[in-house]
Amino acid sequence: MAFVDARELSAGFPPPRDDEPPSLRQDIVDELADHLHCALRRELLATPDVVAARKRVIERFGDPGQIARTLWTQAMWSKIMSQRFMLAVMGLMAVVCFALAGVAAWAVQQQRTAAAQQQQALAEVMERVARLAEAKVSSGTNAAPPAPSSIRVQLTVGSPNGAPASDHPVVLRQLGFDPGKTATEDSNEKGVADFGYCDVGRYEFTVKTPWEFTSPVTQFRLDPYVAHVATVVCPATPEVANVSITAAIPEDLKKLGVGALVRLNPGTVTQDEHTWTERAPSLRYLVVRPEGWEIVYSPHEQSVSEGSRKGDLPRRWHIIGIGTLQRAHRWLAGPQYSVQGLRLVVPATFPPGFQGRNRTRTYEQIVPKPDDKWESEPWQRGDPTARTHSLDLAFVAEPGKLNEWVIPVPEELIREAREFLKENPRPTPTDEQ
Amino acid sequence: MDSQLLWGTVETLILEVISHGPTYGYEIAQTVTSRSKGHIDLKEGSLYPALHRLEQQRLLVAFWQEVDGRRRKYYKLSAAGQRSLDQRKAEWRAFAAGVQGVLGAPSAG
Repeated sequence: MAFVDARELSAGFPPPRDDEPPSLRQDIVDELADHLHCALRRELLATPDVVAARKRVIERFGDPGQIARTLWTQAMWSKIMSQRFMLAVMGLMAVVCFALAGVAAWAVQQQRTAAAQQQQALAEVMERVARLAEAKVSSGTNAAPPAPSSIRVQLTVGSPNGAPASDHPVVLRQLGFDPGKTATEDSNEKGVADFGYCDVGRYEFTVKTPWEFTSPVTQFRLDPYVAHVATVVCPATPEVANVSITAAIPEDLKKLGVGALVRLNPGTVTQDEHTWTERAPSLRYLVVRPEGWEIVYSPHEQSVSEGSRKGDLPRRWHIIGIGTLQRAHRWLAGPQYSVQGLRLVVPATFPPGFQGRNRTRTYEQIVPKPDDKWESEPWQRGDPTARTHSLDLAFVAEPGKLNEWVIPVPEELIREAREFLKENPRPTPTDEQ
Repeated sequence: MDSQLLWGTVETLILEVISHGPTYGYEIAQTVTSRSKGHIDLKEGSLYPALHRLEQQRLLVAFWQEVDGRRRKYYKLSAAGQRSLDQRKAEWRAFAAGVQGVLGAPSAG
């Protein structure tokens, strides 16, 4: 008596799985079928109607397929959940893999960008190296392997292709140091002052002529692995000329020893639009007298004689000569000299028995009349050129002749000098003065 | 009986029935109904999932026998099942005593 068709129970099962035990479905079907068979037999004891008995069993039992499915799911639950967990893990891993792939792609892109930038930087460096190499070739030091930086100064006379200028001291100074590093090299017979290997940095140099003129300052930057060669065109050595300097002073004043005091500025000579300057004191003063001219101390330096400290000499303005009287002097022909600021002076007078500078030519300014403040302490004096007559002359000596430079003296100065000497008579100066 | 009252005690009842000797599903249901004087009616939809659950927990051991040409699945109690049954019965008795103490003894009339 078959109560349940196995297919009816099996209808509730899900599709077969590879991981389920082979006897699971049959075991469930057999167990439930046995239960239903027992239940039917019990019902048949109460009623002979098989159909009615079966109906009552089913009503009590419920849906056999549903129960079979529940039991199957219960048996497979751990495997189902394990499978779902594995699927979830695989999905997560797939997402992670995609993310990693994305990150890897991004990293590759970044690396490509960085590599491109590095290549560009390398190309720039190579370009710089090539430029430096070209600079070395153009400077005549095409030597390989690269040599350290060096400095040479090539001196010529008159033009860039002129004769070498030898025996010219070149003073090189590295900038940025206090005190600066200074080196001096004389140019050799090829006109080259070679300073050899030098540190990279900023430099300046000047060139001196054997005849005491100095070039303008040249600044440059020494780059790595560059042999810096600077070419300087020097003025030719000037010839020597004879120069006489006189002042247009009337005879009556000449007899009283009146002379002209002027300021002589350092000479300059221009070469290739560069001005070379005489290496002389920035301000020199000349006293031009009938007997000749001489260089004197700066008026504002020696105005108080030592006699004044003894109380036997009025504290007055004195100008002290430091050389011998010159009548005709050998002068450099070519450089331009300028004369500025005119004053009239007379030999200073001293009390009898004064043992000071009586053997030195000492002068007093009479015109323009010195300011009173000039007789105060030296540091309280004003500009010593303030009380001068405006004068601006330029002289250039020519070789092969006597150059006569005459300092003109305006009539009003002569008149003031005469009035001063009339009010302050002076003895006729001796030859010693 | 209210199924909520039966909830949580089905497994204890099954273990108790099986503790008397190997038996099978239909007989377990009949025994519970008989011993409870008809107050407890184990539905098959609850009985078999509970049996399989206890089997998976190693509290029951199942085996098959052929009866009248059919395969029948028998269950017997394992050692762990016996210990679990003892513990469940002790807990139930304590719980029932507590409930009884609260509800009080049934009135005579």
